[in-house]
Amino acid sequence: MSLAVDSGGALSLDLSPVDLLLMLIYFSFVLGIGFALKRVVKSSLDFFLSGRSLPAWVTGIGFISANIGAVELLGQSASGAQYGAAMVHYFWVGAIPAMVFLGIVMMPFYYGSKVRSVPEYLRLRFDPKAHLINAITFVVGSMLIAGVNLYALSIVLEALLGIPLIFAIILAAVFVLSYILLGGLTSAIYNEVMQFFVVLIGMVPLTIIAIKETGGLSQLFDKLTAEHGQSFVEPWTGTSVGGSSPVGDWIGIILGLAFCLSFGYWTTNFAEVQRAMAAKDGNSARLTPIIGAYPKAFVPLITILPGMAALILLPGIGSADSGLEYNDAIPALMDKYLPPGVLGVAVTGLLAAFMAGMAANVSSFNAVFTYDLWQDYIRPGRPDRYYLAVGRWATVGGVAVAVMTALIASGFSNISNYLQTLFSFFNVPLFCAFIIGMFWKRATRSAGFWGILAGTVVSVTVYALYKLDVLTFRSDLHETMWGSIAAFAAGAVAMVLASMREQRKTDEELHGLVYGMEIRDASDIARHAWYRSPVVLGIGVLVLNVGLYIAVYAF
Amino acid sequence: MTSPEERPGEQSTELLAKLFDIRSFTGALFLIFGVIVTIVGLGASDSDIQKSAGLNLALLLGPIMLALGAMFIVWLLIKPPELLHGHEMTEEDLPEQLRHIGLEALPEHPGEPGTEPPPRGRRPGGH
Repeated sequence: MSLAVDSGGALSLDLSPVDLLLMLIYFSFVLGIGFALKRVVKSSLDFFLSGRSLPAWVTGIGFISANIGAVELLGQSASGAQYGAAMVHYFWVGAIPAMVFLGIVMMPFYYGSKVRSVPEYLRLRFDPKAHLINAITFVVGSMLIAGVNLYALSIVLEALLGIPLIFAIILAAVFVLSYILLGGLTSAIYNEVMQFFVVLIGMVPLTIIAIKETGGLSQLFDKLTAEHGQSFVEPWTGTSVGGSSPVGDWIGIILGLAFCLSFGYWTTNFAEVQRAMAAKDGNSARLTPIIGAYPKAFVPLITILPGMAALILLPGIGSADSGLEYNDAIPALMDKYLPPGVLGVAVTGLLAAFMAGMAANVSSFNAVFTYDLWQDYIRPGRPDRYYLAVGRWATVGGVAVAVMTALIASGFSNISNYLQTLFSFFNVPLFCAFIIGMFWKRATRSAGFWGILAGTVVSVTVYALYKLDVLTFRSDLHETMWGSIAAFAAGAVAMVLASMREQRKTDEELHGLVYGMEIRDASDIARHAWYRSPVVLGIGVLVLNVGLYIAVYAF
Repeated sequence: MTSPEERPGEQSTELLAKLFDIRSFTGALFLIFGVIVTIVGLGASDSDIQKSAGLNLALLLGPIMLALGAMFIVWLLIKPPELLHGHEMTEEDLPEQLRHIGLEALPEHPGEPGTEPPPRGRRPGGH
């Protein structure tokens, strides 16, 4: 994560007083939500899972909003500038089918079984070994990513307010800490809802500018084709096996990106699934990721499209002498084009997104730390109010670690990338353990552990061989896709082998956790109008995706 | 889902609590943002308009935010929120497989009045 503000000051954001006023108003609303929700937190379940009480539209927006952090906004626009239109595959082939799958197929296992976290599912379905791997990697990983978001937030604060970075980091951390301590997950989700609309309103002007200033979409695409070739504006061009698209080939995109990477991220990442677990009933939980998928389908329009337009509008971006990196595309466009007032809304949206990204990591970290590590292995059998207190202290500790991560990230700008790569090795094998655990009753208690271990080892090996030039791929993205396919295959084989030498779990132990034994509540079984049916809405968003692909080719 | 707080005579707090719906927050925020940005748009200088590709973006975005804010408030009035309640955890909130240990973990059963000890202010930001 590196904005150019820390590399020579090519990027600055000049705010007028009215812009600062808008920021101030927004942040007082954020704290206000925390105070208003203090009353609602009585048990650990209220604090970690909003007492399983929220309506589907709130959890759905929270679901997507928790994902729109620094990495998403700056990273996807940077990738748009670097790789072009093919990045939409991450949304339309990757994220959205995964979200629909989570809602329609996997959510009954998560919500119906009443597990309180994603690792807890592994503990019940497999054994403490699989549980511990997931709980520990999740806790460490989410702290590091919280630190990355905090660092991004602080850089912007530093540039805006002219305060030293260390103060900016602490200011931002105390702010996030206070509203989560007050209202727990509900506070985080409510802020995500508010943040979602501010980001949307703040980013849309950039898209309008990108289209207007480059002379319309077809003009923009023509210019980019002339400079960067056909595959830069057509997502499927050059994706044949042996083709030239830097993103990779269609097998890698469909099997690696969609099935392994995206399904792995969206269906097992507790920071996301936690939002659905906070829903008030089974039907709302299933609708959560599907409602989130609709806005997600349009996120490329406010990230990838401005990123691509930045190549025309900010000549030289990404080259050493311009002083602008691809990551700066969005803030630099804001500074160049947005008038007072509008700039305030946009910058507030940017800050809110970084903050919510961090809050999502902190609020899922404290749940896993408290339930899956403290309650299960360190101090079991205490009253619930004890765990509520532990959760609050874990929040303080988590934010403190995030501050340290942010400070480390400020010294070594690449370290966060490496760490994120490291933790991405666990995602695909985890998904393998979940999907096989859910659909194959014969998978035994140790199968989960061996699947995760084998998959991770293969994932790391493929990556190492690529880095040592033993294996060659078109780009890092192409490597991750094929590495994921290999990891999934290895995990699956290991799970089958492990299951052959062991007794399977009894039906009683598996109740609610495997296919054919789901526990569905009345809201889930009932017949629904189309607008509350996960299947109808899920198919709807997939059709929308196909329409969007066609729209890209139409220009 | 009943909480010990739900006593008659606390109706004013309930009214206040009802106002604390996410829709009222989001609605109020966008009404305020909308008013400010619209005013800025009305007074936009030529250089501001030139900066943003010849569009008066503030005058475009301000009314959009006003409409969005109004939409949330209307929605809130048409469908008033249910009061959010905190509730004590019960065995029912745990997965079946954990209920045997859950019992020990949950000595205070809900529905038995008077078992709740007075809250202590030991934890940060607690009650």
